[in-house]
Amino acid sequence: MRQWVLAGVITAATALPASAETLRVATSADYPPWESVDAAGEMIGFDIDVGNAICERIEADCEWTNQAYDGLLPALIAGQYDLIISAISITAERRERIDFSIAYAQAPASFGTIGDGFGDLGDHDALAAAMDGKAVGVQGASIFENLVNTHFGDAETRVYQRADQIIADLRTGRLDAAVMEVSAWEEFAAANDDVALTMFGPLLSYETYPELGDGIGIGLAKGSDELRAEVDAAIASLIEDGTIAALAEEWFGYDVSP
Amino acid sequence: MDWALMASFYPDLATGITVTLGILVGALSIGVVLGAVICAARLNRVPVLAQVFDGYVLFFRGTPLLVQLFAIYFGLGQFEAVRDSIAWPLLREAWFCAVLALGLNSAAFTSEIMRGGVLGVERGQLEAADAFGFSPLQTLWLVLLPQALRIALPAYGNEVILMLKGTALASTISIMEITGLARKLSSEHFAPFEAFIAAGTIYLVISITLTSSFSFIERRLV
Repeated sequence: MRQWVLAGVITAATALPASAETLRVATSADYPPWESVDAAGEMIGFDIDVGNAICERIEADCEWTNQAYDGLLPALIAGQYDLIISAISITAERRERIDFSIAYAQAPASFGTIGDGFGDLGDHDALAAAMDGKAVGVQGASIFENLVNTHFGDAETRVYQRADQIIADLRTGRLDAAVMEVSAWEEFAAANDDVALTMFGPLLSYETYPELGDGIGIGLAKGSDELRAEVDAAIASLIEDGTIAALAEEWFGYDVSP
Repeated sequence: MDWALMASFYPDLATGITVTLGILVGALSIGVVLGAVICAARLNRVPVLAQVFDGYVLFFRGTPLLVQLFAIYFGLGQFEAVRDSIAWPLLREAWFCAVLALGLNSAAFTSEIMRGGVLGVERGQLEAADAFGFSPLQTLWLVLLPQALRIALPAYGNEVILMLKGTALASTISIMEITGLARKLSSEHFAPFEAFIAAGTIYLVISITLTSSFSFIERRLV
């Protein structure tokens, strides 16, 4: 009897990863409107809808897991997930470790703070001068840390694990400013309407700050070429038929498709 | 594993050692001083104070250190009264919150270790000291403390190691100690294994040093 149960368990365990229909997808649902958890505990957001659309296109069942951003990459490398979809920017350094799909979105970023204490800053040099000696918050394991360290060396970079902790510390005055994607600023500004969260300075574009990478892509473990080809084809068709633009309109109010 | 990459992480990680040790020493200092006060108040059943500290020890031993750290760092800052208070210039600093949270936590455990040490001394010894006409202070200094210290020291060595590992939580409130730096290197190079294993070996060397120091002191005391 016990052997049968054991045999059953082993069969089930070995059968699971082999089934091509189920894809294990992970996201860090703390970055609205890309991904977040709603009042009912469901994961919602642009990435979730894009991910589900891709799964539908390649006829796979997506099994979503919510886990901290820092842990996404190690878990992907360790084979715990097939795809990570979490507003991840495609960069050269990251390409050395994992594979990326083609970009499914482009997301501008910006400095922001509470109030308009920094005034009108037209270009990078004015922005860099204004950030001299200021405490600037960024989310950990994010490209913004590199960006601030490289181009705003006189600012004091402070790394947080979650974007909402950055907002909390802007509110307490521990941070003078922060760098996040424009979409995140807009979302947090709406959720914190008792304080005036405002963006300032020029938009941080991919041309001026190469740290921002080549757009937002889906992460796959090295060597999953077959799956990557399927995902790429699905993304291309979703961009082609306007699905991504429509989802972007729904979640951001503007088109983020590349 | 990329061994060359891992080796290249050590100089960067080493800059976090002073931060880690600073938080550790600060927290242990608060822990010993406050722990002694708590221990004395509870053993002597000082009215009100004893009850308050009973609750204190229960709370700090019964809740996770991370929760305590977040409550002090993110929680207190929510209140305008706290932000307007004279303590805010200190409480707004992440390092101070880390030292305070770890110190308050260590005080709860240290007071229990001290209590165990004091209760471990045979009552007959104290009665004998009394019979020899020792003053209470002499009894404390010459009879009680030397023996209680010997009993408590191994357990306290354990507490120091636990606190060392507790300092890693400071990285969650944006402090760049060893773990914070490892996190940063891991994200820059996308090399979590190399970064965290390197950090782990540094913690191991520190704790081996601490352990052997404690066994040296223990041997000297016996």
